[in-house]
Amino acid sequence: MANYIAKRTALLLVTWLIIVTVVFILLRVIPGDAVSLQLSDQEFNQADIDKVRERLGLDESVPVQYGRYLKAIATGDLGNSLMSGRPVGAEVFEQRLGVTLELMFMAVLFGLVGGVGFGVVSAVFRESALDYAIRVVATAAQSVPGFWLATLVIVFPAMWWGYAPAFSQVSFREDPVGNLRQFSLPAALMAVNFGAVLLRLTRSQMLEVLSDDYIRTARAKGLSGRVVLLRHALRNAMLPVVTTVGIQMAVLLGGTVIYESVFNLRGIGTLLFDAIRFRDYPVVQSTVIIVSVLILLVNFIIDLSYAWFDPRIRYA
Amino acid sequence: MPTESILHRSISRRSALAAAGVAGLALPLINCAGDDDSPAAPTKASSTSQNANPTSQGVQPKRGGKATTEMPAVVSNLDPHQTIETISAVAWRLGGNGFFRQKRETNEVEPDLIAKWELPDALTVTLKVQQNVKWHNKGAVNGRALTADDIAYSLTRIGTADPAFKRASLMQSVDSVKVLDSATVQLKLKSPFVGLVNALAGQWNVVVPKEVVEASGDLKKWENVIGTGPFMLKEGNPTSGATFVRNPDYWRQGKPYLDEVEIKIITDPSARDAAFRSGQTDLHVVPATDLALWKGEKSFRIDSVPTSDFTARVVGGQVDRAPLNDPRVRKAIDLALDRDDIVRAIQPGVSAVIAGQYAHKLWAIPETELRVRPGYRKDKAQDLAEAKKLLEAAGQSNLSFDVITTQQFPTFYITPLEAVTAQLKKVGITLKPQVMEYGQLIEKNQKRDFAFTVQGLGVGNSDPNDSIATLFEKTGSRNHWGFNDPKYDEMAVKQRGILDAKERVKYVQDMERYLLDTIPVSFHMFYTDGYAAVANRLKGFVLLQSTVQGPVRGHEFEDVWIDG
Repeated sequence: MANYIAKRTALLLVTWLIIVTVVFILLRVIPGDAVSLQLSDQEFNQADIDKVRERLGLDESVPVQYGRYLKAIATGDLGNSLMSGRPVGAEVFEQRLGVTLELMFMAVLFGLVGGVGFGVVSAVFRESALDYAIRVVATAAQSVPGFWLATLVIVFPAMWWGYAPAFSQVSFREDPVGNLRQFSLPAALMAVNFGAVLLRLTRSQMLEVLSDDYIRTARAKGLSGRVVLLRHALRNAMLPVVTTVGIQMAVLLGGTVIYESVFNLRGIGTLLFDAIRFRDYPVVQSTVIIVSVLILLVNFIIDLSYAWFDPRIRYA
Repeated sequence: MPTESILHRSISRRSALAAAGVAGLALPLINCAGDDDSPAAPTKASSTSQNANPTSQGVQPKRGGKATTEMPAVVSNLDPHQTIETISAVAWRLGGNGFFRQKRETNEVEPDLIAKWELPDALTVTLKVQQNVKWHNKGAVNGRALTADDIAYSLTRIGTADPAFKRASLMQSVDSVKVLDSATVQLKLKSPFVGLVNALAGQWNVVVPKEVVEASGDLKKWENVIGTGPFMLKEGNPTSGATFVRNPDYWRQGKPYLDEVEIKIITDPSARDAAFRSGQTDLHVVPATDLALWKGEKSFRIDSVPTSDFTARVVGGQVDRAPLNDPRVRKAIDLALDRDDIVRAIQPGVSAVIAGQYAHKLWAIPETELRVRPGYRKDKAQDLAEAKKLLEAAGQSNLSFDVITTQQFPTFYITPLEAVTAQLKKVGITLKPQVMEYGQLIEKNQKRDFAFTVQGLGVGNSDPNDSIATLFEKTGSRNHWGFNDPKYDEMAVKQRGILDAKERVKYVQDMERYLLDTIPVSFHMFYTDGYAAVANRLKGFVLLQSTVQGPVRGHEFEDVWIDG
């Protein structure tokens, strides 16, 4: 196991380095640059461009910039935003990351509880009215674009009843209940599509497992329906579901920009979105690094969890 | 986008620059005192609010309460001399004062920290500093009195020769800034520029404390918003907004009425709608296209104000290269454009006034005059027939252009391009869009590396000189079409020195007619009314052009109070 973890960790580092390099290069090869954008709202000439380029360290060759960049990351320096001049590390870790992590955590929680729960119910009561109702809702939930649903949820209650969730960010430390109330709605909406995917997958896996011989054997042994369902069937059905959770994490992270924007939450998603628009290299690079680390870690943990779900799995 | 800018910020920087532009709607106030004796501006921006000016109706303002306003973008840089971010202007007009400001009801230039100004000759501007003004009682300034040195310092800082200073070009014509005595500053100009006062009335042109700049290096952060304004910063955050509290030592006696003003940053338009409707904000800019959704409510009112700005919406390409170096081809394109159709594409269902070079009531030639000009007539049959003849005569019956465009700021690029493509097709001209990233488009503009374009170019100050000088003079920094007309350049220099305000307006309008005849590029300008939803409890509020275009709303809160 320790050997496996060491190998996977090394692989993580390599993967992460490739991501960092690709992002670094891509940002510099796409047409248009940060300096032109920065100066675009004023009169400027070539001398101004050169001056700003030098100030931002963009006058050096790309390999030199790359080397400097890697060295800075190694020392924990994520640089300063080209737009605001503020340290990226402080912005990301002190202001933005917590928001996104909380949103993600709640969305995953809602998605897992709802998706797996209703998936199991749907499988157990297959071909019943309840099963059909759940499947119709799940299909609809998968089809509805998140930004549309979020906008409806914001706009119509405000128009009809003058109600809208608070648009000022509530700190968890200062007001835990208010904070959870603020995050619940966007997290629930984020979980709609995610949960629907899990629901359909859980249902199909459960249907397959429930028809296996060992389930029949368990029932024949006299085990209660609950034990058979939860301990024998669900646990075995969960492997593909857990894998899907890992894949969906990247989708969820990509979707945070929509929900953060609509619900006025200042997380990583909106930060990255703005940074890409304005070619704010340090912010884009740092945010991508952090997001990629998150996704890699989640997938790493999921890989390790396989052994818990299926003890037959051994890590060589 | 119109301003060739990086618009941060969910609303366009076009709007932001436009807001700067409207600050000086008035005529240049030449040889006049900055008081009520100043000549009336030819344009009167009227608010339709029923209680637009309650003080004049004998309603007694109440002290206390808190007003909350929305802002559509997070803060990147608050330094008013180094940014065009709207929130910077809002913050500094709450916490500080400008040299001049915009009169609330009429948008004329009126005194702020400059109490009086004079132009004794075309090369001299004398500024008299407001007396009994104190800086906020905090930080390095610690409540000290404002002096002429502070005014001179801020003027000089605006003109800093560094690309970080966005409006340095305003001061290019200024040769020296001299403090004559504790209450007088004199500007000596290198060449006549009578529009300087208008230009300096822009929202970001505020007076800043030297001590704070020197201590912090710049004014990018909230905590550096220390000025002489009606409100003092209590707390601020780059991503969520700020709260200002009443300045008890404010130099305008009895003002402000509010105890607090909160700026709430809400980047999503739907969220801003919902925040207003649910009472989380007191003021909300309503797009003209959404107006129908906002009518008939009792808990708020809809105020409107005519908008205007200098943003140049242009269609054209390189006039020094074939085929556009042939005036007949440019004329044919101009004739084929259907300006009403373009407006319908950009703002469906919104009534608009068609304009020539300036969508600006004071400086523009009247629509009635435009409507009889070929190319601007409502019935396009004759224009199209003439356009075809011209192209045939020029031997260009089947023209084709690659057009640079971007998906960012669609109402300035893709949307008008789609309409123009269909219109030019009718006279045999094919436009092939080359969609690119906005930054690349700016580079191509700068290098004149394009054949044809449909775009909006923002002009960032309150006087037409910026449009004239940067877009169409031979050496203009944004003369992306290579227009080189010595006669026009001469006219440009001359208008900068015309001291008589009315004469200058007339002359600038003649220049506009000259451009409409010469057609370096074609214009498709228009202006509409702007709208804002205002909570009924907000009293004394007067909607300004800058609010619906910016939205810039700083000193507007000085006269506002809460009732209900």
